[in-house]
Amino acid sequence: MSGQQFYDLGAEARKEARYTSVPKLVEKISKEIGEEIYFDDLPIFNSIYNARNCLAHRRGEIGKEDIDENGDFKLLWKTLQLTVDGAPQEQIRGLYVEAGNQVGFRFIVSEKKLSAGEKLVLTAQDCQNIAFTLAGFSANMTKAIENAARKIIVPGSFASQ
Amino acid sequence: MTKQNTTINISHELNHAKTSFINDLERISKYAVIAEQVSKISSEIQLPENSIEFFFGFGIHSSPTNAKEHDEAIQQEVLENYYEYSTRYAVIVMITTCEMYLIRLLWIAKNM
Repeated sequence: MSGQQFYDLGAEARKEARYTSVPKLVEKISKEIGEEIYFDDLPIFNSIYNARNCLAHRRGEIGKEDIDENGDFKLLWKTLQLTVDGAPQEQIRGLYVEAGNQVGFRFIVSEKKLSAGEKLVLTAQDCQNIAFTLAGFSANMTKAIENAARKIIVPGSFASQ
Repeated sequence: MTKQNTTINISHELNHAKTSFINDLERISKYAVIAEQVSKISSEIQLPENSIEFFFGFGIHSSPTNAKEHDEAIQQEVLENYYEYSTRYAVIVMITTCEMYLIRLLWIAKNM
């Protein structure tokens, strides 16, 4: 498919998506594929979207629009944690592991919690964690749509890579 | 072109959309890392002339009156808080990119 064809075909989707919040877009996709898209990352994704709104509209100053019923603003993201025999390791550089021990990684959810009146300021490492989390979100979205597509038999429209 | 005469390879489109999105995320998050390094090595950053326009829409706005004084004040603020503006910009752009990615998924879903 050429870029122009893709652009033309996408016009309808772009028109429909105009003025739609990003979490609502996930709902629209769910409606199109006829299945609710839900995975553990969704609340994390929504927290990043809320942080975006706070940064874009209030320059990171936490307002009443940003806090939950407990008066907290929470920004969540996923990171990888190194483990040795299941025990988490904070220090990676220079880590010594005995022969026979098992080195592994696991996902953990980290949070930045703030209250109204405080300011959300992010570091480059925070941005990398957010990018990592959004990459995981895209893998889950792809999987959800692929699973739905496998249930719809349309010759030629689905092929394994 | 209608849905009836459009045949797409869903798996190919999904993988292409995901790969493009992840590549964009990598580039944007690197921008924040570079900004961190720049802010560490130089306290006097020379911003390009169009940087005020660049940062408009990312939490700072132009003023219809006293535009010159207003812009100069913004320029100074951006210079003093370059790293903070850069990380803020990075998150906003990442979500905008995510929005484009989801619109592409919506299009794929509509053509399934």
